[in-house]
Amino acid sequence: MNGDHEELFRPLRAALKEAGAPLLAAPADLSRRVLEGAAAPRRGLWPALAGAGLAACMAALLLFISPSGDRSPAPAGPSLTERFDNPFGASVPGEASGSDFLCRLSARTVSGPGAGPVLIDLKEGI
Amino acid sequence: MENLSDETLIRSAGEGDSSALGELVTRYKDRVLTFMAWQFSLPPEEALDMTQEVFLAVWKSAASFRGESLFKTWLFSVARNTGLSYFRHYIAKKAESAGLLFGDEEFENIPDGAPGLLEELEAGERRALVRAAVASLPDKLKAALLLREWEGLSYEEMAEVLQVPVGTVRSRLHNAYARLTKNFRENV
Repeated sequence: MNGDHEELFRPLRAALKEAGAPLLAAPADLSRRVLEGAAAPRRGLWPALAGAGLAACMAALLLFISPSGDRSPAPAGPSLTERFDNPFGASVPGEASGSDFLCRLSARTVSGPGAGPVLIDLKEGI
Repeated sequence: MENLSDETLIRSAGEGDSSALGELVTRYKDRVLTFMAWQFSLPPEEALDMTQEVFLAVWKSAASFRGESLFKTWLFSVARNTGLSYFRHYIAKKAESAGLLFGDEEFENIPDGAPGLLEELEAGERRALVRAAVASLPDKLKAALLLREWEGLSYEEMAEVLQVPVGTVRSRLHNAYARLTKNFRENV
């Protein structure tokens, strides 16, 4: 398929090969320029990677250096419901103050809604 | 490095070896520059910029070279695609309307007897005549000659590189030979 007209031009083709391609000449420093260009994107990658790493470190620091009280919920106070009826299932932080709060809450419940401020302290009763 | 094949070098470049890329640039810079200037009718300075872009594209896509074709075929395909993307961005319509990118050409008539004239010339004279005649050809015919006669690509490989039908490759080569022959007939 390729050969018919190429055979016709056989002497011409031989002369072309003999003459060699009249190539344009690229400057000798083209290799250096290409290699500089090839290196540029990789140099550009390092600052980006460093920036990403720094951001990750900052995020980690923010997570772990925050005040300890914010890290986890306060431990629940001792259960005061074993010997005490807490109809609302109120979770009471703290210990002594929690007891006081629970006592007041129970007293209010006993008195019913709308009973107003409860002044009775049942702590001694517990 | 100089003894390594093109295919070995491009694989090394794909693994990040920039010295392998440097060796490939040294081997092919003149040929790629000439191809870009002829295939896309670019002035030398612009062709040189494009040649640099071609080798950067080679570097970026070296890892994708799978060895299914010769490195040379792959390289000129990259060169052609790089040039084409340049034209797409800037003067695609102009280039296409000028028939620079695609399209079959008519087969030109061959003058009788001219090919034999060359054999009667002295070698130096013949070489000078051939080079002058090649220089006078339209750019895309020169590019076809470059790939066929001096790079040794097959018609199918040329069609792959130039992204044209094999028939177009045939007509371009035929017309290049016909014009050269005509030139010799007039000047010998």
